[in-house]
Amino acid sequence: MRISIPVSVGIFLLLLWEMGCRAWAVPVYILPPPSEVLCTALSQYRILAYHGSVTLFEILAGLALAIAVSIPMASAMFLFPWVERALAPFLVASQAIPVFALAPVLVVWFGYGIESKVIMATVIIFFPLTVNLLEGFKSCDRRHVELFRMMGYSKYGTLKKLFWPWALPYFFAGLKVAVSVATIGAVIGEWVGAQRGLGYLMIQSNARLKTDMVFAAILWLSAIGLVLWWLAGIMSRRYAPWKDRG
Amino acid sequence: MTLVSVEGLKKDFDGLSVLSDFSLSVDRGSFVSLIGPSGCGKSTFFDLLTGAIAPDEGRILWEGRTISDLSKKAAWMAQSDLLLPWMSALDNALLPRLSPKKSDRERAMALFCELGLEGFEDYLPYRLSGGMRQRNALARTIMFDRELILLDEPLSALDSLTRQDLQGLLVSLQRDFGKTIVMITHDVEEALVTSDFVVVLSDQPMSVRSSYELIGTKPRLRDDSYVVGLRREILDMLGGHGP
Repeated sequence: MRISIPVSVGIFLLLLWEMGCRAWAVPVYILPPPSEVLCTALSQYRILAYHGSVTLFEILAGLALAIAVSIPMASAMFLFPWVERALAPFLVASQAIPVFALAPVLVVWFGYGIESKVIMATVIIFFPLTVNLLEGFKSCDRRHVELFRMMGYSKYGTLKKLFWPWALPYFFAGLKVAVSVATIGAVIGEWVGAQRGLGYLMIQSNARLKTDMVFAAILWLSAIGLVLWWLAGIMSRRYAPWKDRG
Repeated sequence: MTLVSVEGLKKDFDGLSVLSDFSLSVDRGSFVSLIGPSGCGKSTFFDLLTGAIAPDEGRILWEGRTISDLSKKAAWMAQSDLLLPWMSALDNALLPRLSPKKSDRERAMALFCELGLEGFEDYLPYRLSGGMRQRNALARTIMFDRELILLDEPLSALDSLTRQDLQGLLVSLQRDFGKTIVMITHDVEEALVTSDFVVVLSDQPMSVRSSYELIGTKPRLRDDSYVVGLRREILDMLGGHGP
């Protein structure tokens, strides 16, 4: 039931799209029908897989970097309120800046290689991770904190044994959001300047009016996002199962 | 001999006087229950004792010496078990030992046997029943290794049968482990079954309305005429402001 409803809706929309393209004889370079997109996605899988692997690597590297930044940042913001007061405005401001505005500058700073795309993905990912983790720390039950204080735990001992496990479900919720939006950062970076990646492939195909390839790249990008989201869900259930047990 | 006492405790919240000139003393090895109307300030009193909040006036004395709070002197058990859902029952019980040694582990295992939790050491809390979770919390409280135990309505979330069972355990905690116990409860019968002293509190600002020194072997029978008579007397005293 949980799967069948979205699958049915998806199939219905695809059928509508397919029939619309055929009924109005829409040229393929304007809007290819889903059957054409699927055909291209499968027949050109070598090219798509090559560029997809580059984009996936950028996303994963961005994810790793964002995790490495967000955990100490959220911990410091939680343990030392003055750090939160000092950083919070910049954290919010970093999300108020459109990533499109940042991309050209990052390409100038870090070049046309994957570095600028990894940074782009990091910029997008670290915000939901940091904010969710911080919220997780703050949501900890006051009576548990009281219990730990009475047991004589230090601030760091409490962080390790209470706050961190408590915030883990929040962290994974942030991770699920993060992986869903991570593709945006990587692809925008590739649009601005790259020699590889699905974003690069989309720009190149678009210039040659190979719209079916653009859609095939979008399909692969969606698949990457979906798989990462699914993996984040599995990790959440594996490492923070108490959330679902109530 | 007095183990802990409070003198002239005062606490206001936004102009509302919750405690005013509140004094109480607890003898070493005794079991004292505090009963009062809901919202009379019992939990605030515990918060003051544990140091969660600071009093506006007054002092806390431990063996006659003034201390800021009892956070280093007392173990605390709340209404909910406060077990950590990611830790096994045994690890939860071992929490008060900051760096548990093998001897602590063995002691906790022995405690599990005494509390009827043998075989459940590796269970996560969600697999334990309400009564077992509360026993687990009791094991953790004992592992604090503190002379004084503060119980904040520890059995109120349980069904009556499990409650009666655990009331016996509370008595043995005092008797067999030599603990001094101060318990907040809204159950007059529970207080009469388990305690040496029952302190009836008045509404805000909280003050001692009456106190009873109880006699007889514990846990007392709830249909004992002594218990029944006192129960009626206390409930009459509390009147419409029953706990």
